[in-house]
Amino acid sequence: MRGYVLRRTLLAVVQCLVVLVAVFAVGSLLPGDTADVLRGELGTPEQVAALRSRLGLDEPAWPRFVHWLGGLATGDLGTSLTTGVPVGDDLGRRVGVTLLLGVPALLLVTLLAPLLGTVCGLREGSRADRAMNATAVLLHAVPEFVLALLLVASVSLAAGLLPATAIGMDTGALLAQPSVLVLPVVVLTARHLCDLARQIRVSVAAERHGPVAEHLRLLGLRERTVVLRHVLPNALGPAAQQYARCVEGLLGGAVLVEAVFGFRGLGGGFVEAVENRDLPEVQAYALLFTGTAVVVNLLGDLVAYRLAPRREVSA
Amino acid sequence: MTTPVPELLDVPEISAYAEGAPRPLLDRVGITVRPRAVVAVVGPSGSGKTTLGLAALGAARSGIELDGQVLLQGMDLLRLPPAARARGRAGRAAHLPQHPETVLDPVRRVGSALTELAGLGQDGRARRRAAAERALTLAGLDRHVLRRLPHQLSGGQQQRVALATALATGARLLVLDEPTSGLDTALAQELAGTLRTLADTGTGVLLLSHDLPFVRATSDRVVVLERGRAVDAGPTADVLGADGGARSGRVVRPRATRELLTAEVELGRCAPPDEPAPVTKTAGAGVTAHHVTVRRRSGDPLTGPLSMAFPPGSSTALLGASGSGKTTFARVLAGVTRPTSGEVRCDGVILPPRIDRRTAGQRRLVQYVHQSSADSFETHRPVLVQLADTGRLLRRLDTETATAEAIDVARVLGLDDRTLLRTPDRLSGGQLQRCALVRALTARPALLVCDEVTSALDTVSRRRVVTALPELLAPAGTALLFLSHDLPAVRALTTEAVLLDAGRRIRSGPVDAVLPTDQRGVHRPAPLGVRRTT
Amino acid sequence: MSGRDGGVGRAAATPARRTRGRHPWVALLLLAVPVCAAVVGPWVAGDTAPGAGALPSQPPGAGHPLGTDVLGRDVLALVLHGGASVLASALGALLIGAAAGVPLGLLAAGPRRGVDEAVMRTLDILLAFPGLLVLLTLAATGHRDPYWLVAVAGLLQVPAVARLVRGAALAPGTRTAVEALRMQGHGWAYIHLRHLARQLAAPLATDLAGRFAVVLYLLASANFLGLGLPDSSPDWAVLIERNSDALFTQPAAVLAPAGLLTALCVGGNLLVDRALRRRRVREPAQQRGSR
Repeated sequence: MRGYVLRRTLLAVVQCLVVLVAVFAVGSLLPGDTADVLRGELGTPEQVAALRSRLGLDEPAWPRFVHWLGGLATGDLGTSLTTGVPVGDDLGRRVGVTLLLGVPALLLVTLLAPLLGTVCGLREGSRADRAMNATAVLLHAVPEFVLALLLVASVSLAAGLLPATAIGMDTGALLAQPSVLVLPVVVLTARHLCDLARQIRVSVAAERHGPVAEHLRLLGLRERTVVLRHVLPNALGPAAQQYARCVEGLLGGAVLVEAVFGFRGLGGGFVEAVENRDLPEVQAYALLFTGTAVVVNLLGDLVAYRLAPRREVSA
Repeated sequence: MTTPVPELLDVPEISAYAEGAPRPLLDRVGITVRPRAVVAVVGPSGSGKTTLGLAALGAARSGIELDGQVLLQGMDLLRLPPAARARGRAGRAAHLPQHPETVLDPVRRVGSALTELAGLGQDGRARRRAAAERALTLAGLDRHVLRRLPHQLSGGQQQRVALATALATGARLLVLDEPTSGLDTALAQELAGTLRTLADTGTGVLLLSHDLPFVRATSDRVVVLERGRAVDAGPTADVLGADGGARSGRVVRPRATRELLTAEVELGRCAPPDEPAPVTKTAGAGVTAHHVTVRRRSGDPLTGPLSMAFPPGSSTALLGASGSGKTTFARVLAGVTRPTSGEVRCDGVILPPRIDRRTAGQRRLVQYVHQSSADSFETHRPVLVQLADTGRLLRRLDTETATAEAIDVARVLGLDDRTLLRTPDRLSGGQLQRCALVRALTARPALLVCDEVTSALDTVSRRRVVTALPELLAPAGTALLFLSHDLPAVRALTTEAVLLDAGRRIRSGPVDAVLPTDQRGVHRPAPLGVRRTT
Repeated sequence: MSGRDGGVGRAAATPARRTRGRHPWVALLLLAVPVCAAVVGPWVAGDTAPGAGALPSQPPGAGHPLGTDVLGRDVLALVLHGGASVLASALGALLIGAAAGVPLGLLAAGPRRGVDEAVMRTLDILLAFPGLLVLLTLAATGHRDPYWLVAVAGLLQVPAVARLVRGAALAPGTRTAVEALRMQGHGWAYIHLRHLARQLAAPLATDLAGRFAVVLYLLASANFLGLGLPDSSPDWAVLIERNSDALFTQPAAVLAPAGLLTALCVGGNLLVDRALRRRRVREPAQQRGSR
């Protein structure tokens, strides 16, 4: 037990280090560093060189990396090149909007996926299960932006039911008019809900027909006991891992959903930063998103291992 | 059910039909189990033992229909609607399938699982716990197992816990399907003792097995099953008596029973090769292993350090409980497991530790036959072509000669030419096991390593392999290393034996010195407590 | 009297019954329409350049069966041209993923424990990077042409492909057969190129088919965000993005490419789902423990 926890945590630490180095490299080592990007199209070589020395980009990489890390440790993420505002402030302003989208989506997935998956897994082959599975395959396959536009076209534009965009709304405005959130949350939830529910359905069905369940039934345990005490614990263990992957997926989904609906959240900010080639901002977003993914996956694997210790999970 | 019932299980007549199969799986079989009795059902694989065992609980695999009557403590299970049958047998009858270690819930501690099952027969927390602990003791385990998860237990302990799950329900009828498959001698012996103790305390046991010595050691009555029919039944001593009932004036047993017995007797009678076969080819030292050690990544030794010599014509048995390092050592000889230290030589020349570094000539020298040889063939090519590859690649024979040789050896092992032209998926496990032997033997190795090759075979093909093997080994003076729990085969085939525990040699010498026998020919406990605890 | 038992009897009967009665027509049809559009489309469609005097975002009408897009181009012609890049880039990324993942997986499954550890641990590190975010970050540094997109999307699949190949090559049955072949004197080439290739073909094909949807999703999302193809491209994802503002006035310009993209994703997924279910029914025991 301890061996696995240690190994898996070590992997996460290494992953974090690699992420740090990669993100740093994006800003300063790759051809096309910050100075190039900032001045590239407009400036003369002399101007670029001057800017480079002002940003400290002509120093060797190693001390700059240490300096950058020091800044990160004290919460200094650098200054936006386009707005001149500290990147940290920008992130702080945007995080509320993303949480308004992400938290309800996460709650929906957390509550509905085990429920739907279990019900379908136990009624495998029934009409309800087949309908559910078909819907899941459909929704799982459709990229978020397509689903978003289809929903906007049908629900908002054709039926006139819900607002189609949230352009220009900040956290307060969104809270005042929560109907704006309905479509984005549905879109964000759909794909991952389907994904997770299908995984749970498959493992519930497999466990239900597995040798352990058959044995317990043959010994005379009631079906309800077999399901509650054996099938579900065994099926939900691996789901913890899937759940972590799904949180990671929600991050990517947030980028798309915010772009479609015009939210000024973290995802929208990331895309904006990329459009403006605002490298300090891009670095901050990349760190935030990847770091979250690493931590969430670590937690998912550890929980899965705790629930089902015999399974050697990914690390 | 409080009315006193003489029989725990009374099956006046039961038949089972598989969807679309021409003949029934069970054809009007009757069987009765009383308290304090062990009733064994014996017969070759495919005779319907497993189906009968499930039917005794009113259950059947999917696609199988049962027809007849199954009276469990006087209640007809088949008359109950399917959903009610589980409750009907709960706490009254329990079943343990083959490979019982697979039925343990991997994420639940043993104690919690047992206590829950005890709830089928007991009310109240304290009484359930007591019942769970009683079951554990009956199965021969300590209390400390209660707090463990199945994967923290050894293979033997897992099987005992599985037995405890059946006992914890308070069932008075126990159905055991091939309980000794995969058990080594010591464990089988202990299980026999456990079963007798259980029977003495009032339990009735229905035992489905092809292990005749085990049946003799445990059972009061025997039913012989052949192709779904009960062809013989009676007290164990009569049905499986040493003379098969043929000698005295008693009834001559039916053919199926006699065949089972003949196969077993011949297996026992195969004279052990009392002197090494004449060496025809090599005069060197043969294959030798020097201080072979294999460690896990964590550094725990899996086997060794172990040194052994296999001079031409010799035959050695490697014995020990499961997990004692036999297979690991054998695999090192063949070069398919890499030793942490030590080396394997042939006639004094060091063989590369990895098989892919060995030349064709070196690969020929040590041939290893896997325990699960059914998986060791390519699925799409006819078996014969694959067998001929050995001669073609390792001995540079042309295809015709290699094929002819493979056919010859296969015939000796009882495989006819038509069988060999099929692809592996159309051969039985036993046939493939023999094919694997053919594949190894046609290499004419200096050392043939057989890893539990007889365990997948029924009695008849087992006898054939055991009788044929010495004559097949003789031409090249091939030495034999025989890893097995099958003691009659060990006695018939080998002269020397080495007993391993935890990867180390704890005893070696002539087979009879390492393996004492008693007059009944039943497994004796291994001389040392080779089963490791925890 | 029926002897079917409530417990054991129900066991494997259900999934078997389910697969038997269902035909792949729906999935095949869903897949065929976008694939035909992508493969045949560019040959039959007319020019995509806006005709003289063509108005932007016109609803379907004479001359333009699906109307025009925001630049006044014919939507039908665009849609017929736009599938090729969708299909080609997804297939290209898959090819890169397989070309790198299969040898790495085989290498890890080889006899050396050290190599196995090194390869798999390195790939584990790659798992830390969520696909879309890597593409976004790369785009920020100026690597925003379609080739980068395809290459990175492909490389992101390598850990999963390598893991699958390694797992399949180390499955107990496969390993036994490989050892037996080695002892028989077969060489590296025979074992890897003939035996293992045959053994791995089925699981790999199923996995890659499933991965097709993943890659398609990733690339379409990236193109929608404008990270790859130029915004004049007829690629379906780009078309959707460009015309989404005119969704109300000219829905066909969004719905036509969106429908084709959806059909491609769903059809592929349905087929894979079906194949996976059939394999599960056939070899229920092997699904577990082969991680």
